[in-house]
Formats: sequence, C-alpha cells, structure tokens
Amino acid sequence: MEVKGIVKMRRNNKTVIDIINLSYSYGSKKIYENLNLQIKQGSVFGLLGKNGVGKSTLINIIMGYLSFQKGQCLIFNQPSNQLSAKDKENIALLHEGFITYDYMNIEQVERFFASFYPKWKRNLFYDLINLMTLNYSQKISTLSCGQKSQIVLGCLLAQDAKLLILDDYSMGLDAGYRRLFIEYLKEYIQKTNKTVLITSHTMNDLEHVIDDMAIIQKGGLIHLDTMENFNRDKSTTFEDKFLDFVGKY
Amino acid sequence: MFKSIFIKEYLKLKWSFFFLFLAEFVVLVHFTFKLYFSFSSIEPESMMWYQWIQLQQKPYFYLSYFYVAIGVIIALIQFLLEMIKNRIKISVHLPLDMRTIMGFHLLCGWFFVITLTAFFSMALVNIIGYYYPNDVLVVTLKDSLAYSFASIVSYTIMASVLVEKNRKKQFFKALLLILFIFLFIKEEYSRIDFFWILIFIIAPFLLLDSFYSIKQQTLKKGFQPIMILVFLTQLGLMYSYYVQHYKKEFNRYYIFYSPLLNDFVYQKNFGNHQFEYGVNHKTTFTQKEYQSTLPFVYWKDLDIQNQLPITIHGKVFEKETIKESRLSFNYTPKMLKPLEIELYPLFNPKKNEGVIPFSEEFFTITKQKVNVYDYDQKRNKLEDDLNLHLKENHFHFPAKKIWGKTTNLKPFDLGYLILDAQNSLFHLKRANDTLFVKKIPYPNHIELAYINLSENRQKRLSGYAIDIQNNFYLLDWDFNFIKLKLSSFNHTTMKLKLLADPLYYLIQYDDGTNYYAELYSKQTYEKIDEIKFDN
Repeated sequence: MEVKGIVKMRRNNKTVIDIINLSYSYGSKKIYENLNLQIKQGSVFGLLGKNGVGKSTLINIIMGYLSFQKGQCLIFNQPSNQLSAKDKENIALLHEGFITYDYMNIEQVERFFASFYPKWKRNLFYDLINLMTLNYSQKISTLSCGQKSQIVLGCLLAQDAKLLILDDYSMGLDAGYRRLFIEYLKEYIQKTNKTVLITSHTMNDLEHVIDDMAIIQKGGLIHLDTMENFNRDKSTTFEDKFLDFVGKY
Repeated sequence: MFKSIFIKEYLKLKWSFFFLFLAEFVVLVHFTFKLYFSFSSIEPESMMWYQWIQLQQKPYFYLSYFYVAIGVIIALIQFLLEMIKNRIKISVHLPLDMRTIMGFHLLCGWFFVITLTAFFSMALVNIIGYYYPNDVLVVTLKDSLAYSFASIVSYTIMASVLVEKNRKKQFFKALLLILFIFLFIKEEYSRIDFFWILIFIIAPFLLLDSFYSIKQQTLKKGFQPIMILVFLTQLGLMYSYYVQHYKKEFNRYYIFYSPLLNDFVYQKNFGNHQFEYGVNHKTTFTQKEYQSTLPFVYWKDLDIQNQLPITIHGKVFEKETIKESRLSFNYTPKMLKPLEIELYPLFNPKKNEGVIPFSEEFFTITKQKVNVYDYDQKRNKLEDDLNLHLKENHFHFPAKKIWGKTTNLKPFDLGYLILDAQNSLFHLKRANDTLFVKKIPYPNHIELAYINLSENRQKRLSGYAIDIQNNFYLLDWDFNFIKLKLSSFNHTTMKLKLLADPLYYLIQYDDGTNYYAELYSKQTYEKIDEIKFDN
C-alpha cells in the first residue's frame, strides 16, 4: 500500500490524533494498510476524497466504532476505543448525516447536552440558532436538513471541546447552508485554538479552512499534504487540482 | 445527568407509554367483562373457584403474555429507532463511562416497565378480589409479581438483542429471550423459580455487552462462559419441560395374574404397537391365548360370546359378580404435589337428591381456624360450626394435609381425611346439612405421606394410604388401615395400580425400569405371589 507523505508531520506531545501503522480490512477487502497519520493540536485537518473511499470508515476507526486489525490509533494519547469520560468530553463529534435526538425540540436538546458538558457555552448555541428564525419549541424532526445541521453545529461548538471531528458536514446541505456552516466554523476556529478533523467530498468550501489534509483514493491510497503546498500553483483552482489529483489514480 | 437521560427517554417514550396505558385499560375491561360473564353464567359461582383451584385454570393466565409484551414493546420503542437512526452512537459518545450510559438507559426502561406492570397488577388483583376468596388473591399477587418479573427480564434481554451489533451474538441473545419466555411463563410458581433471579442479574450484563458491541468490543473475562452456562442451563430446563409435558408415558410391561394358569402373565411393549405376550418368564403365546387366560380382565368379550358364567377351579363366576368386584386405585408420585391454594369444596349431599350438588362453600384451614368462603358472602353458621366440631374433637391447627376427592361426580361423598398439626387423623364430612367430624385411629409411629379416597359402590375399600417409609395400606370402609407388604415400592419414584377382581387384589408398580406385580388375598390381605420384570 502506497502512502504518499509529501509533508512530514512529526509526532510530538502536541499531537491530538496519532495513527500508527494502522491496517483495517472489511472481510477480505483491505481498506487501509499501514496507515500513518498525525493531527497536530490547533490544526484544521481535512480528510478529503470522493464518496465511498473510506473517509467515514476512518472517522469510525478514530472514534472507536470500528476495530482495526493492526496498528494503533490514539486520541489525546489514549487508545481511541478506550476513551475515558473526560476524553469524550473534549471531543465534539458530528456524525455523518447530522444524527441527533430529533424527537426533542431545540430547547430540550440544548438542555440535554448542557448537562453533560461543564464548559457548555449556551450563548454560542443560541447565537447560531438565532441566525435562523426558529421557534425554540420546534421539534428537530420537523426542521429542514440545513436547519438541523445548524442545531448540530450549535451543540458541537457549545460543547467547547478541544477536538472537533466533523464527518461529512456537507451531506444533504445546499450551497447556502454549507457556506453558513463553514463560515461559522471558520470564525469559531479563528477565535480559539481548536483542533479540527473534517471530512468532505466537496472541496471548494474547505480551501480557506484547512491547514493540513489527506486525500484518500479508492483502494486506500493516501496523499498527505498541507493546503499551502497543495495550492501553491495558482493557475488552477483548488477543486481542479483536487480532481486532477484524484483523476491520476 | 440521570435526570437528563430520563427526560430524553421520557420524551421518546411518552406517547407509547400513554398508548400502553390505554391498551392496559382496554385489556382489563375486556378481562373484567369476560370474568363477569363466566360468573354470571355458571351455577353455583364457586364452580369458577373450583376451576381455578382444583383444575389449575387461572382466568388471567393468558395475560402473562401481555406482561411480556409490555417489556418487549418498551425495549423496541426505546432502542429500535436508536439503532436504525444510529442515535445510539451519540448516546455512547456522551462523556460517561459505558456502564453508566447503559445503566442510566436501563433504569429508565425499568421505570416505564415497572410503572406499567404495577398499575396493571394492582388493577388485576382488585378485579380478582371482587370475585375470588382472599387466598386466591394472594396467589394472584404472587403471579402478577412473577409476570412483572418476566416483563422486566424480557425488556432487558430484548434491549440487549436490539443494541447488539454482532449478528451471531444477537441471534444467541434472542434465543436466550425466547427460551426464558417459554420456560418462565407457566401456571404455577414455586420457590425453585427463585433460580430465575440469576438471569435477572445476568440480563443487564447482556445489555452492557451489547452497548460495548457498538464500539466492536465485548465484556471481558468470564462473561462468555457465563452466557454459555446460562444457555445450557436453559436447554437443560427445556428438556425437563419436554419430559414433564410431552414425553409419552411408556409402560414396558403390563402384568396380570391369570386365575386359570395360577401364574402371572404379561404383555411386553416394544413400542410401535409391537408386543410380546407370555407366562411368567417361561413361555410366550399369541394375543388371543393371552386374553383367554384373563377372564376377569376380558370379561366383556366372554359376555358377548355368551361364555359367562365361567367356572374356574370348580367355582362359578357370574357376570354380575365379576362386574361388581372390579375396582382400581391409581397412584403416581405427581399426586404428592400439594395444591397451590388449599381450598376445598365442602359437599353437602342430600338424602332426597340423586346427584351431589356442587358446594357453594369452600373451606381452608389456617394456622388458627377454619375459614369458610361463600361466593354470595352470606354469613352462615358453617364456619362457626366447623370450628366448634374440630375443637370438640381436639383438632390441633394448622392442618398438615387434607385428602379427599373434590369432585361431585361420584356416587356419594366420603368427605375429607385431615392430618392435624400433631399427626392425628380426622374425618370431616357434611351431609343433609349436618357436619360430621371424627378422629380416625391409624397405626402408631407412621408418618403419612399420602391418602387417596375413592368413593365406590362396593363400599369395601374406601381408598389407600402410603407412609413416608413406603408402606402401603388399604383403607376399609371405616378407614381402618390394612397393611400390604409390598416388597420394593418407593412412593417418590414409582407409580402404582391396584386392580381388584372376584378373587384377588393385584398390585402393579414400577419406576419405568423395574416392573413389579404382587397378588394379595381378598380375605386375609396376605401376599400370595409376586413377580418382577426388568426393562
């Protein structure tokens, strides 16, 4: 398995996510083999790739929902499948498809999560919600996908976690809500020193958000790079470069 | 944090909870109307009591499955959509350890299940209390507690089935649930059922294991062997259930005594309608020859063939003599099992009525006195009279055992034999509105295990008794004990049959492996002959 590490990301004390020689197969199908990946504290890391290449699989491995056959996966220097309650408190996790307790209303879901996170920022949640003219007693299941995405983002940001893992934030969102989501996230990151791991199959929105990235191709090939390096050539757009790159394989 | 999870679960379950309450109400109304109809269409109403107490037909038994359904439905509502919509991942990611996450969700589920079953049980006990005596009420309460327990365990295991991600383990847990429901739901609960507390203790661990499966983990060390042990135990219980309920009783030998041959003849059963017939252990013969050796058994054939009366060793036996001499008593170890509720109809045959009317009054003997129940709750003198009669006869409460035939489908009523706290035996009966209580003498130094009363027109034997030393006694019409010296009888493992013909008493007994037959004189009650066959 080829691992293209253009930029060396050194493992150090400030590494938040550390994947070492990780191999994962689904039945006889190899998804990852000897994968090495480090995500530094304070960086925004993009896990990019077309649909179905295994981005969510990697997120599920990182969050301990999938167990791998070989290697190590550490978050805050702890095995990812044995995270303590304290570690989980510091990880804000967006599940693919904006999964949330959609039988609750906005106010109830805010109160629910607030009780679990001591650093809960209620204002952050409601600032985001107030961008949409929604009644707080409205049930989440009755909201559009875009509105739901804002509720989920509000919950993640209010949690004030050290690490944000956002799995396919763009799923089901139109351009307007994607932009709103990203703009708000960007503003939030700029004010704080959060580490972000974000996956997406739409590239344009992320150009000015991510610092480091891994492009995953079918067959598990990984291309590691920084946004600065990848985007050095200004003659083509980021998306074209990405498509050209993906097209090579 | 528990409060938050409780509110979350409440928001999810509130409508289903409300509809389950409504469903309970509908089921209870239906049950009440059914019971009302049963009581209003039967005369006397105490027949309904009889059906419950003597025939073990509990009117609410079918509701046990409703209890189980409550548990299963709550689990489905709580966890099915969580799994389908992947919301369980959010719950698992809450900043709590896995045991706490599972524990909080489990406590919420239990709260809803217990609330629903408690309401249902209270209503059920109240309804039953309106129609049945207090003693029945206590059993209803016990049963409803057992059903509620089944509901809680079913909920917990069902939740573990729903949350489990590993398909093989999911199947295994589902199998555990099905076995549990099949084995636990039954007509009567006893102390041995406390064994099921073990599964109640293990069930939360099944659920915890399922929660771990979301992160592709499993409970460590020792859990898998425990699960397999529980499964194997359930399979063992399943086999025992099959043996008790469905396995056909198989008699290898039918042994009779031929007055023509003066020897034992036998029919050996090989199964599948294959038989061997023979004399003692010596020679075999055809079925026809076999039947011809037993004129008192196949006397009807002889009658049709106009071969009666028959002369045997110079003595003539008429059809009527043979017919009237025939009598049989049966015993199986199952008869030792006491009734769940010791309530007995107190018959009151009348001189001028051909059929014994079914009793309106039932009696039970408590620690201090006799209680008499009457459906119409008439305050009659019977209870006072009965207590007075017992007191006058120096009866010591409570009663250890009560024996008698509780059906009115008999030619007459012999009443009951009651063993008191000091091992004295009393005869109690009522006829023509008169109570009769009398102390019955019986051999010293024996401890009675069982008495069977059998009202029969011969009026020579009133039944039999067995003591704990496996001695067998015939009871004459005045309840005198006549000991028959059975050589190898064990009342805890063997079934027994007594057959009377014009000449002898034949006693067959066996434990399924060893088959014995012993012949006794009808005049002296001495043993004449005996034989043993091995399986």
